[in-house]
Order: sequence, then C-alpha cells, then structure tokens
Amino acid sequence: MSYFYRLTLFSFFVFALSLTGFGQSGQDLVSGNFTNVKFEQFARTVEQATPYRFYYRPGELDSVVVNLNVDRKPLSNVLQQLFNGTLFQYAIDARKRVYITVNRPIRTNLPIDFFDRGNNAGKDDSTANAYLTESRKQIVAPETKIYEVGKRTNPIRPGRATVAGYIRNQASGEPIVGAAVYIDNPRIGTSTDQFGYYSFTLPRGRHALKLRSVGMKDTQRQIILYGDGSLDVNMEDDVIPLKEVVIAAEKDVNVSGLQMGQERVDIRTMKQVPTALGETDLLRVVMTLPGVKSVGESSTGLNVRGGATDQNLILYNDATIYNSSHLFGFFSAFNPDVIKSVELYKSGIPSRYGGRLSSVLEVMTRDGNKKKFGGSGGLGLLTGRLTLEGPILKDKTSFIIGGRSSYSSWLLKQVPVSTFRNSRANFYDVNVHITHDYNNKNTIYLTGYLSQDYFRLNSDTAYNYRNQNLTLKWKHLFNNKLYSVFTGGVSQYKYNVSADRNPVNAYDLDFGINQTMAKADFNYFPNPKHTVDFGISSTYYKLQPGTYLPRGTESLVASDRVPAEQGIESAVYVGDRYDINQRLSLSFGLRYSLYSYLGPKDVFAYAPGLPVTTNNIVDTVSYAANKPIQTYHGPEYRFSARYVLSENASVKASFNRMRQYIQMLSNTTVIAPTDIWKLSDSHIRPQVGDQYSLGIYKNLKANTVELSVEGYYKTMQNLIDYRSGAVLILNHHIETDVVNAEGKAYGIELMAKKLTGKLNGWISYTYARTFLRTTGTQVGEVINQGKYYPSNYDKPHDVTMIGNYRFSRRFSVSINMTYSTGRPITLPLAKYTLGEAQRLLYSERNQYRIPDYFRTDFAMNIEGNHKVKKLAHSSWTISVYNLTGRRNAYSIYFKSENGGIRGYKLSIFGQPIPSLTYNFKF
Amino acid sequence: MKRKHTQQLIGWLFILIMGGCVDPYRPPEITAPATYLVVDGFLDIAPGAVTTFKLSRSQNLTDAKAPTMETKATVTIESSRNLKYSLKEVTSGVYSYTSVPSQTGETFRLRIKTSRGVEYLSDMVAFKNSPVIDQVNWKVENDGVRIYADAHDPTGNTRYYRWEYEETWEFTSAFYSSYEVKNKQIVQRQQDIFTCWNSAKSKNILINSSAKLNQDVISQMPITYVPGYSTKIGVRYSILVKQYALTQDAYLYWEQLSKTTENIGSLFDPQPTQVTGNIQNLTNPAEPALGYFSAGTVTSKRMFIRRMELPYWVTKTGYDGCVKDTLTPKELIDNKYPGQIPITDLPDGTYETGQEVCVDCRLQGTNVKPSFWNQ
Repeated sequence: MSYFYRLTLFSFFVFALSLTGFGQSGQDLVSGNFTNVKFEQFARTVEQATPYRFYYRPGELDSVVVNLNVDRKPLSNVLQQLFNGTLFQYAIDARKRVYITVNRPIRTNLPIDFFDRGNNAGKDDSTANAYLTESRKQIVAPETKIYEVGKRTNPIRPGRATVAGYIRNQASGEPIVGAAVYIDNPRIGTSTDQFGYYSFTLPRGRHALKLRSVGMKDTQRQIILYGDGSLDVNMEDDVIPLKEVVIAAEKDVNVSGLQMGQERVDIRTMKQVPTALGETDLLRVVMTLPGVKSVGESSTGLNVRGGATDQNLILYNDATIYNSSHLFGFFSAFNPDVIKSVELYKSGIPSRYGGRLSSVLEVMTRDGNKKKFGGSGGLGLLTGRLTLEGPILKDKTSFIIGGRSSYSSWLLKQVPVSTFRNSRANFYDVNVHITHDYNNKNTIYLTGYLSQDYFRLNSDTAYNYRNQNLTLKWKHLFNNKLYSVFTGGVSQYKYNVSADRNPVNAYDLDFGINQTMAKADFNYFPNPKHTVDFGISSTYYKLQPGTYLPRGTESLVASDRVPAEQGIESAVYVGDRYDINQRLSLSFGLRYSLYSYLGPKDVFAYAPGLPVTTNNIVDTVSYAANKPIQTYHGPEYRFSARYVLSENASVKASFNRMRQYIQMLSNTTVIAPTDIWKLSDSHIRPQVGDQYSLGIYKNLKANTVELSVEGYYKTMQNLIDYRSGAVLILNHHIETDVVNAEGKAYGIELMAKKLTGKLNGWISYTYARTFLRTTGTQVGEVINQGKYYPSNYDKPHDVTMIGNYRFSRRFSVSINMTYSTGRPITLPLAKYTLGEAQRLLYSERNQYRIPDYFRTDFAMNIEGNHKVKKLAHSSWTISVYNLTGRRNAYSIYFKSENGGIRGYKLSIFGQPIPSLTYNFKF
Repeated sequence: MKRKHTQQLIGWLFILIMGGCVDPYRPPEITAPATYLVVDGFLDIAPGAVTTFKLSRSQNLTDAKAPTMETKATVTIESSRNLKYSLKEVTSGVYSYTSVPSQTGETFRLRIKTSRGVEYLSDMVAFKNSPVIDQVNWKVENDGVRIYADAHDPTGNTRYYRWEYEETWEFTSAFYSSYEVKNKQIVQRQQDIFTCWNSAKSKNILINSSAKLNQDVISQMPITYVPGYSTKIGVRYSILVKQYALTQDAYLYWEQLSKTTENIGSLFDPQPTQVTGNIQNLTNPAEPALGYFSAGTVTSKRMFIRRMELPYWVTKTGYDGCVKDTLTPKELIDNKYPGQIPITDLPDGTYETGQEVCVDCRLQGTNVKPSFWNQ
C-alpha cells in the first residue's frame, strides 16, 4: 500500500512543479439546483460550467445523492456542505482537479523537506508521516473515520443521548484512568473513572469527541450521535515524549475540575523523582506534594494537613494497607513496576470514601498487557525486582505479577564487624493482578498482595511483619447511564516479635488485624447536569491486640492474651455532582456510618469523676459473643463547589466531615513496626474531623502552567495522646494509659506547576500549623496544663521543588530540593543526680524544635536507544541523595552515659548517598 | 581472598548508607525556672542497716559544678503504725538513720521540710524484701566478659527486681619501684606502690521483671560487660551485685527513667516525658520533686574473675607510653627532674627511674587491699 502512495505522491509532485499560482476567478463559482441527483451527474454538471475536473472511483460514490440549491458559491463550500457528516473527503489542486476519496483527503502539494527526508526524519509534518509510515496509518485512520453511535435515524432526532465506553491503551489494552473526554461546542466534558470507563451525555448530532490523557497522544473521534450507544477508544502511547514529559492527566482539570485538594501522580512522574536508594518510591513522591509531611527521613508515615499517620486510608486496589513501609521505612511497600498511579485526596473527600480523618491515598495497579507478553524489572543498591505480564486469553484476560526482594541481609553478613554481621534485615513483596473482560457488560478484577519484612538488630529479638490482601471486584454495566462495582476483600496485617537466645525467657509476641470488607458502588449519569454515585459498604474487623506466648519447652514465659476485639463498620452514601451552569458546579455528598464494637469482652467500668486508673475500676461487665457493646453512628457531610471566574481561573470551596473507628496506638514519633491498632470501644470514642477549605486556581500559557492557592482549617475530636510512661503493648485496659485530646490545624498551600516542555516540575510552599490539647481534667490526663501544644509533625514552613530537564530523548536530569522547619521536640530542662548517674527532667511537651531540614537530590536517567524492535529496553538511573551532604537531624536525644549527660543529633542520611539502578523492560 | 574483600567493601558501603551518623549536639540555652528537690535513697529495714537519703537540687544542663546539697532539712520517716524516725544530717545534704524496725504489712512514707519551709511528702509504700541472688556468673562474649545474675523467689512475691553493682579490680603500675627518696636519701621502699585496687559503682539502671513468666525467676540478667582489653580484668576482678525488690510502681518509675535517659537514640524512640516519682511538693503541688521513695531489704553476692580463667587478650593498661630513664643518685636527691621515681639500681651506681604516673599506682587507685580480696 505504501508503495502506492509514494507513486501517487510522485505524480503529484510532477504536476505541482509546473503549476503554481492559480487564483480563484468568477467562473469557478458553482450555481445550480440539484434535487435527487446522482453524484456522477452533479460532477458532470459542474465540469461543464467550470474548469474543475473530478477524479473519483464511481463505485465509491454511486450511493451519494445530491440535494443542493447553490448560487455562486465556491466549489469547496459546496463540497463541504455535501460531504459533511460522511466519510468522504475532497481535495482540489492548483490545476482545479478535484479528488474525492474515502476517509482521507489526498494531498495536493508536497511535504516540506520532501527531498531531505531520510537524513532528516522527525520534522514536524504529521500528514506526511501518515502517508509514509505504514504503521501510523492504522492510528490516524480512526481519527478521521466517522463513528455512528446509537441506532441510525434520519433525520437525527433533537435532544440528548449518552455515549459510554472504555478508553484503553492501544498497545497493552490497559484502561486509561482520568482521561478527559470532551467536546468543544458546547464546551462540556467528563473523564474516565478508575476502570477507564466514561459516560457522556451530549446533544445528538455530529461531534468531534476529543480525548486527552497523561502520557498519551491527544486524539479525537468523529461521531454522529443518533442515540445512546457505546464507543470504546484506544489511545496511543506518546512515544516521542520530547515535548511533553510530565503531563497532567487533564490539562485544565486544575481549573475546570470540581475536586479540590486532590493530587494525582502518575508513575512516569514518580520515576523522575530521585530517591535515597535509587528505587522509585511512591510515598516519597507523595511527600513532596504540598500539605503532606513526614516526621523524618526513615518514615513513610504521612501527615496530611496536620493529621496523624493513622488518619490516612491507604488503599491498594481497594484493600486497606496497614503498614506501608519496608525496612524501617526506607522503602515503601509498593512495587513501582506494577503501579499505575496514585491519587491523594486531602480535602473535599468524595462520599464514597470514609473511615479515616485526614486523607485517602488510592494506589492503583496496572492491568496486565492484554495483547502480548512482556516483563520489566530492575536491580538497585539493595533490591531486585521482576514483573511479568501478558494475556491469558487474548484481549479478554490478562495478568500481571510482580515481585521484589531485598538482599540487605546478605550485605550485612559481609561486614567484618560482629554487630552488623549478627544483624539481619530483609523484605519481599509480591503483587498479582488479573483482569477478565467477561463480556461488554461485565469485567472481573482480582488483586492479591503480600509483603513481608524481617529484621534482627544484633540482638536476639527478631521482628516480622506482614501485609496480606486479596480483593475481588466485579464491574457490571446496567446500561449507558448506570453501572455498579461490587467489591469483596480481605486485608490482614500482623507482626511477630520473638526472642530465643535465653531459653528461659524465650517468647513470641503476636499482633494481628483481620479486615473483611464488602461493598457495592453505583454510578449513575441521569443527565449531563448530574452525576450521581451511591453505595453501601460494610467492614468487619477482628483484632488480636496481643498474645505473648512461651517459645520452646524450657521457656517459663506465662501466656498472656489480650482478648480479641471485633467490630463492624457499615456505611451508606450518596453523592451528586450538579453542574448548574458552565460556571458553577456543586457536589453534595452524605455518608452515614454506623459502627458497633462487639463482644465477647469484659469491659471495665471506672468510678465517675475519678482518674481512669486500675485503682478506680468499680465494675466489670461481661458481654456475650457478637453482642454490641457500644455503638456509634453519625452523618458525614461532604460538600464542594466550583465557580469558574474565567476560562483559565476558578475558585473552589469544600467542607467535609470524617469519622474514624480504628486508630493506631504509638508513642514513638515515627511509625514503628510494633505499633498496634485499636478499635473504638466504650472508653475510646471514634475520632471526628471537620475540614473547611478554599482554593483559587489559575492556568497560564495554554494550560501549561498551573497556579493554585489552597487554604484550610480543620478541627479534630477524640484524638488520643498518651500518659507519661504509657504501656501500649499487652495492655488489657488501654484506656488507663491514653488521654483524650482534640486538635486543630490550619494552613495555606501555594503551588506552581509546569507540566510540559523540556523543563518541567513543580514548586510548592506550605505554611501549616497543627496543635493538640488534652480535654481531660484528672491528674495524669493533662498535658502541658491543658493548653494547645504543637503536635509531633507541626512543621510550619515547607518549600519543595521538583525539577526535570530533558536534554534529549535518552538523557534527562532531575533535581529535587526540599526545606522545612524542624519538627517539635521535648528538650530537657534540667539535670539531676540520682545514684551515680545524672538524669534528666524534661520540659513541657514539644516546646522546642530540631534544626531545620534542607536536602537536595540529583538524578540522571540514561536510556538505551529507542529502536522499537529490540530484545530488551534498558535504562540506568544514577542518583545522588542529599547532594550537599547536610547532616539533617532526624532526632535529638540526651543520654546518661558513664554518669554524665550527653546530647546527640542523629542523622540518617548524613552524607551524599550515590546509587545506581538498572531497569529493563522486554 | 579478593572476593572476600569486595564483599566486605560492599558490606561497608551498606553500613555507610544505612548506618546514619551521630554527632554531639549542644541544645539551645534552656534555663529551668527553678531548681527542684532530688531525693536519692532507700529505706533499708534490715535490722541494724543504715538508711541514707541524699537531698540535692536539680541543675541547669550547662552547669558543670557538683549539685547543690539541700542542707538543714527536717527528714522524717513515718510509718503506718504512727511511728516517726527523724534522720540526722551526717554530712551536708546526707541524712541517715540506723535500724528502722518493721512489721509485716507496715507501710512507710518520707516527709521532708526544707530550711526554707517547703514541705514534701511521699506516697505510703510497702516494703519488699529482696530474695537471695542465686548466682553471679560470667561468659566470654565478643572478646570480653559479660556478667550475669540469676535470682528467684519461690513465694512468687518479688516479681520486680533492680540491681546495682560495685566493681573492684587489682592492677599494677608500669614499673615496680624498690627504692624511694626519703629525707635526701635513697632508701628501700617500705610501701608497695606497684599493686593497687580501684573500684566503680554502677551507673546504668538495671531492672528486670518476671511478671510475664509462670514462675518468679530471673534468668541470666545481664549486669555489665567488661571488654577484654580493659585493665579491670588485667589481674583480678571482683563484682558485688546488690539486689532490690521493687513494687510495681517503683519498677515503672525506673523503667521510665531508663527509657528516657538511657535506651534512646534508635529510629523508634518513645517520646521523652517528664518522669516524676512518688514524692509530692505539698507547698507548691505544681512543682515536681524528683526521685522515688521505696523500702525493703537488699541482698548481695560477690564474684571474682582471675586473669588465668580468661582467654588471651592484650590489656590496655593505660601505662603504654611509659619509658624508663637513668639518673644519678645526686640528680634524684636534688630532685633535678621532678616526678622521676627510682625503680631499681644499676651496677654503675645509677638508678633506673620512671615517671611518677608510671610507677605510683596510687594515682589511679588505692594500695590498701580491700578486706574481701583474699576470699
């Protein structure tokens, strides 16, 4: 075929050389009244009256009937009118020859630099490329092809109809999330959901349906909408990412989207951010976003807008992840090879989410390639990983399986120092995801996840922890306007601490959470002004708060079991997004959650008005199995509004209330592997948080630069803080060791993003404060005299810059800079001598700060050549973490050593950390 | 061999990355609004035992001086039988009483009234008698010696234990001196300044509990560790382990104190908190009083380690830089080179000499043999 086009082009070229500069004269105009005339006859009539000569295949045009009444109009206008809404294309050359073709117009002049082609490929001439490259033809074709949607009617009925379908990746068949689907006139649009599904109601008739998405080529489909129908679209990878490197999903969603306080980060962006140990780390990237902080270098615990680390709902394909870190927090629990994107909701949280106060972090995996087998992997300083994917049934069922493991234990064994040689630290994780398109209406997704950590630090105490998840999702389309997703899943987190060096004291300490969840979510698109979602969910928790058992026969350890606790949390929700007019959109949501703490359990009653201590226990009430001990319920309101100020500016506001029935107990500053979770019970009330936020958004330079300012104010009730000397592990009455607190947080977040071009990235500044205050009045229940004190993660100023510069397709450089105020600490106020040693008296909580934090990272990505047909594609990432080697304080502590007091500053990555990672893909 | 080196290099690299680094840190100038009373002592109810309480004041962190003692206070032990024992100030800030009698079930408290009229009172505490220490033993670990203690209480009432220890070791100076300069004459040395003894008390908090065990047994509680090169085990070493029985509250107090001042500096530190004991300031309840009042008996056990029982380790004596010199009798008598002490005479009439610090062990310890040493 391509030979044919070349020949045709050559002949045009010969003609074109001899003929230039013809203008249009009066005799070129067409007049006539054509009623039910065959095209052949129409052409003949025109040829007689004008110098035009028609060239076409009579067979292709024999069905065309001309019904026109024209008076002295240019031929091009007439043909335009005639062929509008059909597949036919026309072209008129300088010698007034008219070519009629199907689908694609004939080119009538030569491409620029036609003769230099070959040694100067890549010039911006897409049409020429389309002609010259066979493979491109298949892609270009759908853009000009006209798709008829709905049952054909003649004439097209007035009114609206709904088109729905999936947007997928051309190469892998993977659904594309968050792709924008819109038309320009009237300017309305929608975007695909997490399944790549969209439903779009628009006026019947002819439209150019435009599609845009992250890292995909913009495309469009010509549709004639007769009635409700479906249209699936395949988008092509943006294989030449020279101009658009970091691309926001929807280029103007910042301004036009209703959601605020939401950040979506694509895996491509994540891969550009340098990390300490060379491996792409989802949580570290999330931490660079405004409003997200962490207490220290080795922590993957997120503090979102002044919330605690347990107030984030971390979902991995809908399964809750309780411990998101590996190896003391140096790695996050997510394998970058299987992740597609991550979405963080900081405010205006949609009503379908609930159960945590601060944020929702939704991690989505890729679907396996439905077309062909492939794999990817990498080797880093401490880890190796391998991912395989491919079809099980071509175009219907696909799988992706990824594994990752560290070899840090092997490294430790090599150190010629016994303290290290006797230490072990390793982890692995496995991800499996299967997608099956049963038919057009039903799709099934199965996700499995397992992660395991083990470490022992030069002592006999060994730590193990494990996350296990399994989810099954069934998506069912009722019709174009209504679909449902049914999800069932189990999430399990458990840890074990054991020691066996001294057989007399050898023990096993176990903790576990089992969570079983079922939910049904519905999405309903009644008309273009409303998008409704509603659903119901229920989660059953079963916790083993601690078992302490002898290990081995010689052990004298007495078994101690904190009785299991269970609870059930259910919710119903409904949300409606109402586009009142082009400028104003509102979203209302209501979630009603109901929680019951269930027996069997012996519940202590404490004397009213006295401190909650074991001395004041006045009664013990026994509850039978599955009998509700305490029930809490309440509405959670969600509201957001957007008002468009101009085409590229808008203002948004939101309010949300969240309720949380399970909390983490930890009196360490960072998440420790031995932290336990606790259900709300008769003494520990569920946490309730309200957040108000307001933001202004503006895009500049054709949506390539996004500016935003968001402010928020937040209040939190029934938070937990700890008494001095609280014992959390194996405590049969946690209520005696915790104190009730309330919190407030406020802040302002400024962000500027440049999304396209060789130089791209973002810079953000956050001012944020967060305070706690104890609400108790009894002795031991008051911290800092009941006054507000800064929480552990109160870091007022934060500036982050992520920059990437792409020198060529194969070479790019990234720089990442971050500055923040040091976190609050409690410093000693005085020293005193007791026995032979000096001891410390600490000040009131969190009245001082560790030194400010500043770090610069640098990374270089070098990719192999981009030959499409190659056995394996590989790339190298060379990175230097903490380029300036600044010894940022992780903690400040004071120790009584040899009788004297010494102050120390612990830095975790106190020198530049170079690393090298090799990634491959086949 | 080369492969091994490469592996070690990789291992070291890993430590460089993961190990982090610890630097000394000087906190901002923090000045406490006041100094607080510190009560350090223990009511020993064994017949004939001396009970001592040391009262001092807390200091600012940067204060390098010895703590100020609280003198001229009225210190009284009150019992649930309404008996009162007034302690006498034996040295400045140290108050004592000999032989406080006790009966089963009796409880005690401590009342202190300072010379400025501020009054403090402890909670009522029950006394706990310490069971005997079953054994104190040692094991060679990581090129050194770790000392362990075992204890048990067949009645199962003790459960919470605390230990203190006092180490004593024999050592010698670099050179044995046979002569000394006395009244401008070189005479035979009468007193041995070659062999000395030194001692040190425990500084860390040593506590353990059998509360989570089926039996009230403490097995192999690590007491201390002596590195193989230490001069403490250069000749002969002895340790006296003292054992206290604690109430649960006292145990929690010591545990907190240990957590906030000793077991700190890891990745997962608990937040430091104000650790206050069971003594309240009655005059100004908001002002803390530091220390913990407890009562009971003490048991102890001594153990010796001889050099020959240990593997071969090179001892860092601290005398490594010592060299001998040669001086004439006149130079010695005229004290021409101060600090030089004659060691031995040479055939030519001169004397081998050494620096005082290399010869006189009394500069590092005492040459009075402890009474228990010949056991």
